Amino acid sequence: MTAVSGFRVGVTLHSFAQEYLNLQWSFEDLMQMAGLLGGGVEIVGPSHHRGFPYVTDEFECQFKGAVERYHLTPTCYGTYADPYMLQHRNLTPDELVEYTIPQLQGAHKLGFTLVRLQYFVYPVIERLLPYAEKYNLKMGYEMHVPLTFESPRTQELLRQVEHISSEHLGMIPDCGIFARSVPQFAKDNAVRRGIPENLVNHAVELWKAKVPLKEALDELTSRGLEKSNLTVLERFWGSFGQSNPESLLDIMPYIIHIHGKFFSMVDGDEPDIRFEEVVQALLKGGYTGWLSSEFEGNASDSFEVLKAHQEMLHHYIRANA
Amino acid sequence: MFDKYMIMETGFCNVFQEQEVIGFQLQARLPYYRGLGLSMVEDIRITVDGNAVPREAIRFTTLGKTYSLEEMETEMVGRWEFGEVATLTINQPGGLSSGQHEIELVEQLRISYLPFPSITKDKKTLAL
Repeated sequence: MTAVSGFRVGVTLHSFAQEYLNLQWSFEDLMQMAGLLGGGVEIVGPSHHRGFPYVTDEFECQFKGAVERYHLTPTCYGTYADPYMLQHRNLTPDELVEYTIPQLQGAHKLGFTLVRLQYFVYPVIERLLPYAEKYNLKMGYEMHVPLTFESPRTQELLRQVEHISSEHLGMIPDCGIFARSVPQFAKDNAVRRGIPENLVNHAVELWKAKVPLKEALDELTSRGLEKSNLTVLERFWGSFGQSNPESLLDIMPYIIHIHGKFFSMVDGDEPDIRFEEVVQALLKGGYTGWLSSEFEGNASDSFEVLKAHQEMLHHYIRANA
Repeated sequence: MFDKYMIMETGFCNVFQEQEVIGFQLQARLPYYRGLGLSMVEDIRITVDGNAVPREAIRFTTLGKTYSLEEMETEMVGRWEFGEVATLTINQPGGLSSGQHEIELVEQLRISYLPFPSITKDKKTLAL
């Protein structure tokens, strides 16, 4: 299923969270399915192996064996900074570095050449770069909601990446920032949690109008949203961004990987994420890396919905090549 | 979204010590997509038939180690791994009566990149 031109399409094992957590599918099953979904495999450290932030020899063996069996390419390893690990204080810069180094080492041990960073390591990035060099890794800040193109934090990260200008540091946009609408499952979930439908619909309108989160929550509270339900609607702002996929062209030299976040497939298309425009921008910009299909939704079978997502991507690639 | 997997349908039982019932146990999983250091498990709240269990009465066991919730607050090495079934032991002399009980479990997690804790709830009727 490798794309005809340009970039390649793979999968993050995070997409199988439902079946994996439910013990329906094992790690080996997930790796086998990755082989049928483009062959590029991305993992999330603390989801897919034990002993995080370290990678054990046992897991190295298990992972590399499966890579061989299913002809996989390790694409990206998801690291975590966990700065709020402790209740009473945040991790110090030294602790952030200490927590990240074994993750870089572990990613390399598994054969990855890319790692996803959370932006919290931004202040200590200069101290991590020597390790990225040592372990031959490109590190990329994930641009995950709320880190849309428009967010000041994203702009700050981009300035740093431009300034440092190292082949070991770049960006990983997550397609959740390219939403055109709030997915149905998120609205259903809010209603299921007992929030009146008119409030849910109003939240969607505020989201569409790009009303900032705090202002929107104040307004929803004044209309009767209970405090205990704030976080449910907060997720609309925390999960779905409204950047324009064309913005990808502005940062093309820094893009080292893409998270093809999607929430559902309806009649062969993703109704809420602007994937055709994402594909157009990537082709136009000459992107040659990987895009991991990343499913985050409810489906009776994650594999089937991932297959449909990749068929859609390949359709757009052919149509725009 | 994984709330329904939190309470396991297996492993619900009274705990005996020398023929005396000293409490009861249930098994639980994280409702989250990755494993967490135990210090990120802010709180575990258990309600049985509408009655809240005192926080001090709860013991958490994973990978062969047992912690009080207070001990977990500062535990930076031990982890509740993804998909891992933890045993929650509740010190309650006499345990629970045989028959059905409505168990409610709330797990409050500190998420490294979100400005609010994740609070999820599962409720199941289990039989002793």
